[in-house]
Amino acid sequence: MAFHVISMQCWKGSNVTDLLSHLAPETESVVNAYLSQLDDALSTMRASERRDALDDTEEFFAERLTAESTPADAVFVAEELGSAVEFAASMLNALDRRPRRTESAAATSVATSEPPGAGTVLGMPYELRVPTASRVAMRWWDPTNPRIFVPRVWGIGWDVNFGAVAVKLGLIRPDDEDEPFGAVPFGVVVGALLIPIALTLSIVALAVAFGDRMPPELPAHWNIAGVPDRFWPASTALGFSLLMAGVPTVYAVYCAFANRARLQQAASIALASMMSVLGAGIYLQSVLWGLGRDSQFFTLPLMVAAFLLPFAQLTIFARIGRAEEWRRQLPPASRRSQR
Amino acid sequence: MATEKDSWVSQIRKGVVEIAILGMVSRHEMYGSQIVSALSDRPGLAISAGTIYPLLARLKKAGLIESVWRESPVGPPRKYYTLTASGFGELAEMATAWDGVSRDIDAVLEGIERD
Repeated sequence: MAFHVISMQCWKGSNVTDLLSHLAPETESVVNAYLSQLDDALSTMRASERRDALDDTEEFFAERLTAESTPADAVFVAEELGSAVEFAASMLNALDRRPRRTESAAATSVATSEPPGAGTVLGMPYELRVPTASRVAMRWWDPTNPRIFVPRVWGIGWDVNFGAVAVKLGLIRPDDEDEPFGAVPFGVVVGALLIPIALTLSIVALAVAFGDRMPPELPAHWNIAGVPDRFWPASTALGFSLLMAGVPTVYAVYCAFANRARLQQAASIALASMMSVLGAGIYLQSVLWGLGRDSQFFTLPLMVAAFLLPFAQLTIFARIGRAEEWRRQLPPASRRSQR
Repeated sequence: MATEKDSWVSQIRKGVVEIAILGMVSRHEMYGSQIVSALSDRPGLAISAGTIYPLLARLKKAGLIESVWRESPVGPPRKYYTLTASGFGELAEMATAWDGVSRDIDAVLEGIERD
């Protein structure tokens, strides 16, 4: 069984993605518990090999479990591999590495009392594994998964699967693209990058234009009525907004020019756009307050914009990718008829 | 007991969804929602779109099916799926295995009262 899993590497793509997002949360938590135990049992393995082994095991579960699978189904599939400790030992033996001794042989079943890196608490999913760009991308854009709310990439609660929203609104079909955004031209990616870059620069512009007119302290938090209830130094307000917008934007620029997969590029741009809307919006709201203007009306439109902008970007990417596939595969006459 | 029964039925359906899809597109090319509609009309299979579309992607990656865009008489172009040569070979093996399993299970269950 170990060789079967390892052999799956021969057709694995260059970017391994989170394949479990189509599972029900309670089923996914069972799988994640197994993967967490496996991760622990493979601690003597080199990090890159351990990552590959975990990704292959994740694919193994993803192939055998469907959206209708129950936690009992996940346990049944896990029993094909054996306990996480036994499975890890077989992989380590195959690679001629000694397995790490575990304290308790009883910690071998999938349903263990050891806290996993992911699971559910009080009915809410949680994820404590370090987020990867691939997992973020697959959670935010998975049109084949009909679930709109999927477990958060990191933390407790749910994220929005924008792909499912786009399908439900009839903007795309689940199988429009063979690879998400795979056919999107690079020029479109660069164009989309301008949005978070412009928003980040707008923070600088506001600081240059109004910085000398600001009071020593600006709002750090607004209550539900839109009234500031905590304050911090004006320089901290500027720095926080710049970091909130700038760090994801820099990462998005890096992904674009480091030739990462289009899905990762698109997801990083969408994340940067969301964070730069929030960063620029929060700073603008602070500046308006500092100038004595009414800023309470800002909060709700800011939240809406932070959601709508990444959704619009990812949907537009998908439609452009689909149009590009049409351009390549359909005769010119039919392409003219689609305009 | 109901949970165990649901799990058992789910396991059976999970095991046959791949052969169901390959079998359907082996006869003539079909587009995604057409496959979803045809399978969801079969209560014994009860397969949802959330299961079918990821499986279509996996079968295509495995080289068992291929897709092509075609014009649609209504609306935008559709992506049609057909079986590849590998897919026909795989389907033949699965169909042979299925014949053996269903024949033997039918023999075991002969005379058993159904609900």
